[in-house]
Amino acid sequence: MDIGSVEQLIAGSKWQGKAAPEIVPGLQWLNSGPLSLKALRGKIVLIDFWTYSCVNCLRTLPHLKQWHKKYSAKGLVIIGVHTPEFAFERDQDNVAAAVKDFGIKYPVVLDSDYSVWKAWNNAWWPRKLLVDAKGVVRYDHIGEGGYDEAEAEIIKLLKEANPALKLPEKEPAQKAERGAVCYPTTAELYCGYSRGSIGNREGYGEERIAEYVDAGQHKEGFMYLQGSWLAKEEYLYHAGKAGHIQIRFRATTVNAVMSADKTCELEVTIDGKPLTKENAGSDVVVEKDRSFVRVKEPRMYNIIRLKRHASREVRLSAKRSFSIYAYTFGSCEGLDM
Amino acid sequence: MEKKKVVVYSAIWCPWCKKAKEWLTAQKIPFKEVDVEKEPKAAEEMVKKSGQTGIPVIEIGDEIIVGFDVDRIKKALKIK
Repeated sequence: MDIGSVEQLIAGSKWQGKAAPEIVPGLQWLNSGPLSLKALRGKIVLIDFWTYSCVNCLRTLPHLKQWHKKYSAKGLVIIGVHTPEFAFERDQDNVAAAVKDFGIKYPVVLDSDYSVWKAWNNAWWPRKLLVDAKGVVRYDHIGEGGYDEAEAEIIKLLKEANPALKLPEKEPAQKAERGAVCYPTTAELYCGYSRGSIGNREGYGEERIAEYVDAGQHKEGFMYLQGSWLAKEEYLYHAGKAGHIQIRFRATTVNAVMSADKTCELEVTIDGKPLTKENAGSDVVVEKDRSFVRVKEPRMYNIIRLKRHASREVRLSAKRSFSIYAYTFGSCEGLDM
Repeated sequence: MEKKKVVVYSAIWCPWCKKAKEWLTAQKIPFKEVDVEKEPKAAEEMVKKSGQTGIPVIEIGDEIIVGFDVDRIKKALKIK
């Protein structure tokens, strides 16, 4: 699909001016008892479709947390609609742990069967929608960004609902510096056979453990395996013993969505060398002559943070079993993820 | 304020481009937006002018600014 038709599709799916569909009852909630839009009439409601291992959603979180802090006492109710992308994101304990780790204080509804997603006819993570005091959608933003615009709309709707309201000053736009530049970057890489691409000549051994040999020539956009791996629809499972997964990327940051039944130490190298404090991601432990990430709970792990956008190769090596679902990449200098 | 033509070379996936455009809008500075992924010829021109492929590139009169650099934008527009 070209960008023009994507834009037409997006424009056709927007909710501005339409009545917001009710949140399907009977779902599990975190940080709150069940809420309904009907009961919230008179309040301004921000609906955020998210899922906890999605990098684009995590980049949106600081803004939502800040708005909750500033405006919840003034009549804003943020509802995080957690619609899972991967199977492990359907697990309530995993979502609850993530909500706690990220310091999310606003209500989160677990949309594990996609009922809220379908009611909104949604197709994107993240997506922010603002519902006014009468239950009408007034703002609809797909993807990251638009934070200043969204905050201005929150203020407008709060004042519309209560003209006497005194609001805290809007923060000035983020100060940017030299180096605030973005570059064309490797697209998100899924590891399972339903959406992924393996560069090894062997190809995917779907639903069976296969032996792979990494021949050493690596093209961007493909994964290269060494050792015993089981390919599942959503992920690749390293079946123990020594093995690795390697990719060539163009980016500033590299994240990997991973999990392990028992804590697994993955050695991380960039162009064959251990990471240093200058290029290690926040989940990487840097020691003398080695760098590694301890993988256990299913989530996104931040592996690499380069100061400058570059083309490099990253290898994750393990002697134990672990699963890898996806790689995501940051395209900008001067941003963390 | 001196009136200079402002062009922002950007792409929809680029967060710093969004911030730059939001900032210019908030300052009420009119600008022309060029999507480098939809207009390959303009993208080539941008690479020639700026000597690199990063975005946003902000062209203010004869000056080329790579990245969202508020201080340089203000200086080029002679605003405080």
